[in-house]
Amino acid sequence: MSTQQEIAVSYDVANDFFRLWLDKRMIYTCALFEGTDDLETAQVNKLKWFYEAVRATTDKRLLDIGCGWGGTIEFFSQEMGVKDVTGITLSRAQYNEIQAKSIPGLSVECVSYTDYQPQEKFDGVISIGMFEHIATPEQSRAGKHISVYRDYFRRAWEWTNPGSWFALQSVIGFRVPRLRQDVQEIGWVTSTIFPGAITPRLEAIISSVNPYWEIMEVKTRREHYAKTTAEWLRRLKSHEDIIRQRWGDERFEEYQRYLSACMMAFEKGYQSLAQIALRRID
Amino acid sequence: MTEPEILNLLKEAFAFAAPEEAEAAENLTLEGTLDQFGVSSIVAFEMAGYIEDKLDIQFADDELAQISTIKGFVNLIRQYTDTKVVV
Repeated sequence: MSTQQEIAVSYDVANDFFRLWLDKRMIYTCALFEGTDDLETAQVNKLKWFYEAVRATTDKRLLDIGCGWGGTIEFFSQEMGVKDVTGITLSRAQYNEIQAKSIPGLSVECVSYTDYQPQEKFDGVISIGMFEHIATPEQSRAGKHISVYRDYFRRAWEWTNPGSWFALQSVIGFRVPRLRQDVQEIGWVTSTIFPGAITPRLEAIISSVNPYWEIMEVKTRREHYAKTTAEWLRRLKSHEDIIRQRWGDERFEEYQRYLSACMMAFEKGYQSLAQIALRRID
Repeated sequence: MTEPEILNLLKEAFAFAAPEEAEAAENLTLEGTLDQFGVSSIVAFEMAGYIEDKLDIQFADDELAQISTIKGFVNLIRQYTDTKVVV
């Protein structure tokens, strides 16, 4: 698992910085551009997909592992009427943002999933864009990633009641780049923007759910992430002056390079995005 | 393709992927590991891309990642060229 220091590099830059170029809910993961070109609508599409995939109802207890700035749990709570929603994040900046809102029925903890111990079991789990932080690049290179992923799925199984569903979203490695420059750009993003993280391959996720979860649905959304990152980049550039002024030239250029590299990686098929609906094996 | 033809293609691909290693590319032989000839994993994938374009084939990433010897690379190319469907 990425350390808290590594998570801070990725997510604790400044909440106001991310607010400038993400959607209004600050959802920092792939949106679903079905029937729309608008990022706000596309993020709601994605959240609705998750609501369906986790078989949410208003009376269920739901857990969001890696809840970001709380956009997803807030949507479930405030717009879909789910009465009991919990989020965990390892980012202090994200935790503070959610705490400050004090939303009834919504709780958040600043904790790693490896240390998390719920007081009560859940009826469903969602995890969007956190899976990439579970195994370290070193564990992956040593071939230990599958057992690390399996341990994650075991924990989620233990935290849930029979009949639960788990809706998961992760960037996945698709085709290994053949061009050195492309390899270097993707490597730069990982080491600079997301230290301690690594993109899993879809087959690694598939292998590791067993014996805890049954795969019920898999969707890949490569083009949607290319479009999402393109929109983030457009928004970032539209705030260039204020970003340079408040966070410096280096920060602007770093994020411009990162989002451009992401667009390239999704467009060329080096990376893709998977959404997976899992049913608990009881 | 014959084994010498494939070896020549590998030399060509190596020189393309790592022009600074032109001499090592010329001395490439069937015996030896990629490491011994200075072929890093990045260079190996770049070589693979060159060969894919040249022969109009596509290697599977996992098979490419497992290659550690020149002989292994040759066998992989042979496997793909032998089974290529011509339409």
